[in-house]
Amino acid sequence: MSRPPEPTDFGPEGPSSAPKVRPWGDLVTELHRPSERAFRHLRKAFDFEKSVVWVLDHDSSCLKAAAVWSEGEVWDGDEALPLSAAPRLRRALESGRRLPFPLGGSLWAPFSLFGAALGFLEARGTPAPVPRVWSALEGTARALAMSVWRTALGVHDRRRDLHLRTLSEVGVLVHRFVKPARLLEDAAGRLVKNLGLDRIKIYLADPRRRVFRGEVAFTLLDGPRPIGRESFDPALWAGDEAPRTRYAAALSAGGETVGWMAADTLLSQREIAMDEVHLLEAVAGQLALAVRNAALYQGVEAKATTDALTGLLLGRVFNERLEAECRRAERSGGSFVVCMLDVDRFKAVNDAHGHPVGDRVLAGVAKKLKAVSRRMDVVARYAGDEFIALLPGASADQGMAFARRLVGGVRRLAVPAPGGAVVRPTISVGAAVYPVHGRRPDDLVRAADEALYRAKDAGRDGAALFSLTGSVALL
Amino acid sequence: MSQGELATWEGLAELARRAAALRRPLFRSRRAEESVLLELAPWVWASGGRFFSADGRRPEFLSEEALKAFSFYRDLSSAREGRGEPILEMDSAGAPAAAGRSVEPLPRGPAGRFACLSGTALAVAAGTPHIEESTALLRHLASPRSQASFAQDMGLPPAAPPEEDGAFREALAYARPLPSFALLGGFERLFHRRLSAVAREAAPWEAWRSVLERVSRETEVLLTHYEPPA
Repeated sequence: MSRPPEPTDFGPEGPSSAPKVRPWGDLVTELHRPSERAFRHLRKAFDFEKSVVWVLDHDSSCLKAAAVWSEGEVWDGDEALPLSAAPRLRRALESGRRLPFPLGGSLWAPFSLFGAALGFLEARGTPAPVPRVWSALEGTARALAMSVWRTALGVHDRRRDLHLRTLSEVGVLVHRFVKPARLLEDAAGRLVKNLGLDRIKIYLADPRRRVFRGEVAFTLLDGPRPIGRESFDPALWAGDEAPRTRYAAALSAGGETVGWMAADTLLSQREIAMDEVHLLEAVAGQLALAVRNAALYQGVEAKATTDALTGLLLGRVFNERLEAECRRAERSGGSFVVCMLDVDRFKAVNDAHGHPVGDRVLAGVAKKLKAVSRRMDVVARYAGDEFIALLPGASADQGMAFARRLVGGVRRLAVPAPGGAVVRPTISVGAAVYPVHGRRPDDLVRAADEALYRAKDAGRDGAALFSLTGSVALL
Repeated sequence: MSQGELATWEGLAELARRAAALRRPLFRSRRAEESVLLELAPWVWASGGRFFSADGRRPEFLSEEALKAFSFYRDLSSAREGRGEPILEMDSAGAPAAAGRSVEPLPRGPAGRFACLSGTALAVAAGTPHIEESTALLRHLASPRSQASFAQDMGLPPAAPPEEDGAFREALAYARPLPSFALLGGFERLFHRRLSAVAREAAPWEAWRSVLERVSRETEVLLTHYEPPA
């Protein structure tokens, strides 16, 4: 075969305007045509079974197959060859000189530009490596260098745009959501879709068990999915050096690790590049701040709405809930019950055993109150030794059944006191029903309070239902 | 070289030492683009190791037995570099036979003799409107002539091995397939990509060990992509 004139450039195709999902995929796609031209040019000089354009990824120190000629077709490359496992190729790349002998049955010609190593052109199944063959191979490799360089620059620009957009989108999400669950799900989804990751799992700290519990998972195929009760295992995510297909970024804020964000591409085997690692770290930082702020907010909110001794809601918060329930019941009909209760002869307990014992009695009553309540019920410490409960949807009978369970439960309380004494408190309960005994919050609370005093008048340790006629329905 | 030398790991290792002294390549693995997992599996089994726990939920190819197999294989392949044709070649049974080469079964290891059974599926898609034509094509593809062509030109194992393929017939007695689970394809791809990097240049054992440890961790994460039904 006669030697064809040496080309100077196989050109890249013009970069497309829209950012693509997979940056490395972009590079491979855009090198396809220039590589094909290079292979065809090479075929004019000599026959070969297979040829590969290898591009050096500086971040991962890997040679990546960008395009493969095999059996007359050009395929996208799918192989990564770490230079650490290929010392002879590394030396050839550093020196810019070809390997003097076939390696793995192939001839390898390095190519570079402006003194920077860019990759290799490999040809397998060639004729004997005579000067004419080497000359054609090295000439083609040199011409490929400019194509690779320009294509990589275009891809780099688009990656940068995509990453900035992703950061900006996550920033908007951080401002939009106060509670972290939805924020984490949306942010994970944005990262998975924009970067073409297979999956992101986010784990948050569970200080009581000193582990990081699974919170959110988002997969490219299925979207959000339950994560179960698994905890984060750092050992599984160690050793994630390039070419990496998994990466775990700590959610750290103020020197505290509040969680982990674990990304992987193990199904697709697409490499997570170094600039994507930086993006994951940046997003993890934003999410960490949001998670910590949410925790601080929840802490402040809890202090502002709950009673420190009993853990029940404060009376002020109860009144707001009662108002809302009145409005809801007025709109939709139905009934609900308000129960007011206090500890019988509580002052005597404090006087005889001291306030710490009195506090333990209150805490014990609160615990019983929570135990007999449904999730939808609203229970609060109203004032001093007074408690109050709102039972949405309950009838008078259901309200009295609740009161009976509560009175019976408190009867079983035994609170130890100094000197070996044991305090066995009892309570009295008054109940009022919406809309029979009142339609406004004040009226209902007043009615329940009046019923409470009737229960006390009837001998304490019992419950009474308010009656408009003044009669008392005792337990 | 005698059949006795090729019957056991010890015999093969001794042959490798002699061949290395002669500076002749002994061993060439499959082409880099083929499955490294299929190639390594019989050696691991013959050493008494396995790739996964019985429930398929945990990788177990870092066991002492499996590492011994990888190390043995690595030592063999480290002797392969050089010029000229290898005198031994790892491949499926059909291709060398079709090329007129002598075929020997894999040698017996510490835990016995094993071969890896895998196949290329030929099927007629359900609901095809051209059932008769499809069936005729399938029969043609499965014919001894077509299969010989596949084996020779593409290196694929024959779907219907020729009667005279004694090595294949013998291997059926001790062959086993890879474990069957939802993510086997993903694992095979991962294993191939990582291991082919060290196998390509006959890397030092430390590099093999490091890659195997990494693949084990990656496999654990990969397996979490599938959650079996409760």
